[in-house]
Amino acid sequence: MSSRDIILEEKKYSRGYLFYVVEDSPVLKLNPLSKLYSLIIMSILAFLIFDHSLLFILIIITITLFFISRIPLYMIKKFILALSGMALGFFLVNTLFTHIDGEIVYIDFYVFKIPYTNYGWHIYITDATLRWAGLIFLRTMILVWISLWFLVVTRDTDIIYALRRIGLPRSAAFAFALSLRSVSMFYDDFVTVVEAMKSKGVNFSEGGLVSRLKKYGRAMFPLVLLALRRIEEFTKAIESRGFSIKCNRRILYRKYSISKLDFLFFITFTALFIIMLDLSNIIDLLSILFLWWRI
Amino acid sequence: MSGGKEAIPYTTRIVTVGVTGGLIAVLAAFGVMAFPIVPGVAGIYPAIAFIVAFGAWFGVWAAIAAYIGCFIGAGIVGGVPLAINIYWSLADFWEALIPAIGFKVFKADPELKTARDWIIFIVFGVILGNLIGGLWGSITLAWPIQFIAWETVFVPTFVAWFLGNVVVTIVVSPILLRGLSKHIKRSMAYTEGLV
Repeated sequence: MSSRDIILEEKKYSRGYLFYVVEDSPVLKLNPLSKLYSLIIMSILAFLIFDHSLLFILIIITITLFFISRIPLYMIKKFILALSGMALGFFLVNTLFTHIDGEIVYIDFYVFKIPYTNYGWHIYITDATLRWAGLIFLRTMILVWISLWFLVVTRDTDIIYALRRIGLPRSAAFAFALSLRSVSMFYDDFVTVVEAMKSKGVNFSEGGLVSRLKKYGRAMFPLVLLALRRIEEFTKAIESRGFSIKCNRRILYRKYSISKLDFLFFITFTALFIIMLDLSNIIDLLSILFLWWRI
Repeated sequence: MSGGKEAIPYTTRIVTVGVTGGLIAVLAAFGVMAFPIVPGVAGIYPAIAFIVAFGAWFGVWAAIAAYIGCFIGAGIVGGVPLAINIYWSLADFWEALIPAIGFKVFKADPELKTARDWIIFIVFGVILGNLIGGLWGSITLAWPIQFIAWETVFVPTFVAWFLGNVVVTIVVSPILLRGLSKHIKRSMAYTEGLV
């Protein structure tokens, strides 16, 4: 029986970078280049668009991608909460530290001021400040959500394939994919080590900043030693299989084809890019006309 | 057996980059999610302690790992656009490369046994690395492509970046270097020179 005749038993779930996704998810059938293309388009759009309503539409599109991909909400709940909290933190920092002149001034006072100078912490919140901080919040939400989606629906072999196709050297593609793969391994190890130390009586929430940092520093010893062991194991495994990292030949274990779904994805995201940029320009033009009319 | 100079073991080096890059990414993601300042920047960045220690152990390979770790953990997770992330993540590259240059070029012992080793660690690992990395990371978020407002570049971004990193590096990196250098030196991943 040749290796081609081996039929693997069907699985219900497939392992992505972060966790398992249902096997019949349509996104898993996509070519990795299509997923990378959609990630790049959304990233560029989030960055070029300055209109809040259009950014909000992009968030809805990203959420729709999660639903289409059939990613269970309970799996990503933890990530969504952490990433939304982070975006809210950016909103607060930008509100408290950015000074943009606006039509309405909400808050204008010095928290502290160095005597005889104009230096200090000056909180100056206007309608324009809030718009700017809101823009940062929405952009962050789009960028982190689309990245999360990409990591959930992508496997390590997909990443190597996509990076090789866009011209990255094999060693760079391999190192990047291995880093991504190591993220989930070290995340699990980190949780295990911290829990083990807690069970031995170490209290990480006790003491000042320096004392806590020292505790975390010592907790990291096993992680570094695990990393060392993995480096040796991976190196031996790679060398024993005769896999050359320096080799430039394109050898693929998995075959990737371009399906109708890929074309649909490509056309949809290209159209989205054009429409969004056009809409953004139209909204800018309308804003200028509105200002001109008011003057 | 030839007595010539041994070739660089690329497989080990690339695997070292991949594995340590993953470890840095986890700690970077933890930092930006737990202590957010602006996209990609954390008030307390635990990864920096490892970046400096890895620089002392693995030389230029640690710098590449730091770049990848920052790209994934702080850039992608922290919400930095891909186009900016490509050059912005070099901040962590400098933060590993500068201590690597200090330790490898001036032949300091990563176990920090002498006063000279400590001086090199403080000058290259704590001050220079964080200063250059902090400036790079703060300025490139606003220039050449503006992603954050200029008012937030130096205060709070640079101040939080530099001071936070200095505290973490001074407290945690010596624990790692003194406690683990002996083991690392015996492993195949340890790099004698810069490369």
